[in-house]
Amino acid sequence: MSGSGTLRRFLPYLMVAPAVLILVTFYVYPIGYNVYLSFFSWNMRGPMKFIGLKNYTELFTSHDFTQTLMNTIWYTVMEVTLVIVLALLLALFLQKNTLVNRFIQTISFTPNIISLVSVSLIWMWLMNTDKGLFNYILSLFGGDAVGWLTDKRIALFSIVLVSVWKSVGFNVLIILSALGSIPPYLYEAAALDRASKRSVFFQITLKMISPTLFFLTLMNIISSFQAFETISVMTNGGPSNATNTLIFSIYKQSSEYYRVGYASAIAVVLMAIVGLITLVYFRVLNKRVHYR
Amino acid sequence: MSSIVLENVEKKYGDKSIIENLNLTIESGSFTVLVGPSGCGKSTTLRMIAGLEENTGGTIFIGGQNMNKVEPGKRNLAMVFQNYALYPTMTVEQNIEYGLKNNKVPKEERKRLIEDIAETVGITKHLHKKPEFLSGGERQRLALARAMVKKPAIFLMDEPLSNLDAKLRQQMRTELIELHKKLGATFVYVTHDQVEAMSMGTKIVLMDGGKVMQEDTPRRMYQQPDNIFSSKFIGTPAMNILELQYSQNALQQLAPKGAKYVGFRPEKIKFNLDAIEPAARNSVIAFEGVLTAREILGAETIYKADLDRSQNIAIKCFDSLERDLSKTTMYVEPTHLAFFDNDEKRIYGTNSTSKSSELSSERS
Repeated sequence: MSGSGTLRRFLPYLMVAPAVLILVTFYVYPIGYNVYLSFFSWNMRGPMKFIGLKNYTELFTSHDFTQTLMNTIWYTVMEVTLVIVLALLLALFLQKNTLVNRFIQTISFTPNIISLVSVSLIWMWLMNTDKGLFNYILSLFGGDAVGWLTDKRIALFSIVLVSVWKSVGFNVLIILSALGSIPPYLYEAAALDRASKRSVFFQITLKMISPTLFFLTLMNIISSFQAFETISVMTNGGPSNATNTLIFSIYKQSSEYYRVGYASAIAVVLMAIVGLITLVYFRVLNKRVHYR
Repeated sequence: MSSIVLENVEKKYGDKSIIENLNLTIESGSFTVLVGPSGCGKSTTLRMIAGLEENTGGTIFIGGQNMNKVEPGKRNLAMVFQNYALYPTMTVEQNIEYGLKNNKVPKEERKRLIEDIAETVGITKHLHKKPEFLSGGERQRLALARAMVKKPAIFLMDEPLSNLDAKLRQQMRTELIELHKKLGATFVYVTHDQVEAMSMGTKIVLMDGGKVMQEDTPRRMYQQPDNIFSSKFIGTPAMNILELQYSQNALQQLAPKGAKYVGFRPEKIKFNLDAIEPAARNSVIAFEGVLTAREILGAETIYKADLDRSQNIAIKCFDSLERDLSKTTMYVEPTHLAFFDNDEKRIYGTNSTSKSSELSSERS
């Protein structure tokens, strides 16, 4: 009996072992090793040198890092706001299921299936200061040429634009399905309650899709923090660091300057930020957002 | 004042016509029940009165005013939906308050009204909960409270009790009847359940295929069905309908000119002559048949019987005798017979089926 008792106690662990093994190998270990590396100075070839928190002190006193962090935050704020607002407006506009609307929905989704590198190349051409389509159109209306990717005040916004263009269709799709799942009788009840259009939108529509909007916001924040291809192809972090973000500087520090420890430290900071946002997200979700 | 008049109302979805040329008057202060099988247009009619569906033809008057272009919120009516249609994002209090807010009722008065109504329907302790945390009965009460707080002249109810369990439904039925008496408002109630229609309505409108089959008080609806559809829809088991050409000579001789069918209620058929008044015993119609099934329902027992030529009938009797399922003779008084013509319409005014005679027999 004691034998089978032991088995019974360990059987659950045995059953979850494969999943745990995979999780540990591909998630826990890399994260742990990343944190470990951030305390070392290492160029991938020579010996690893333990330097304690030196990577972090350098990070937080470096002007470049502060700028990179601010770029990342700005990029995220702009991207997420634009995507959610545009997607919501578009979804409300496309709500009626007509032929034209289905067509618009399809084209707004297509960017999502094109590789980001191709997208970046196309937009690079469109945004070229001398030969680009955008500036050509501007010139037709007598406008001055804009340095879409060369002006450091505008470059980050240009990159945001590409990302918005690419991801808005997907967001529209999700919001549309959320709108479609609002029971029509709620609108009927509201009509009988003499609710104004404004009130119906804010009190019913928006509240009913709030879980979806909240989820999309988190997804967009996370993907914004990870934006890489567009920056790498279109600006390479320039001009003068104006489009350098955390994820891109991790890549630069490790693959170009071979400062693995320093890059790891940035990665840890990035992870902490994303983790914090996720935590706040779920806190707010539990309290504020209507979920059925 | 708050009467509802439908004049030549029609409803089409594309080419498909749901309701054609509907004329209906719902009197102010009545408890009118629209009843009929699924797809008969009763819900559509209700929704057109509410303004949730536009009538594609005809005119709807409420309190004498043309409502065709009036928004639902401005028709001075409230509706209770089948699935309650509570706002899931709002608390109970906010659910009740929403309509008041939109009608620009001042805050203090709103508060007072909400407290009063919550007290009335008994959901005071739930005011700050979301509807998802309420039980079925509480949701029902909230839906009622939300409708009542606006003090409308007309209450529209679309199968509001169909999501409740049997016992609660019974209780709510009584409460709704009391509510109607207390408020004195016009109630228009849609259901497919003839028991609900019979027990609650002061007037029943029986519909089928977008048409009104009969409009009457519950009692007259039961006693004087205008057509075979009415006779079968109201009452369980349904009225027995036999084709005259397959029936015995005695019946055929009684039948007025043009009659094709004869009907009688299951409880009007008796197993022995003693149950029939002495004066009527001479003219009684006898049926020979074989009992095939027995359903004991407590106070009453329902038998099924096969007659000649594959016609069959149901018999409801109130004694506690358990009869053998075998060949037997049954009797019906001629006064309890109803004749219908080729179009399944009732033939009135013959000696045996005058309205007064049937009413008088009901009293005995």
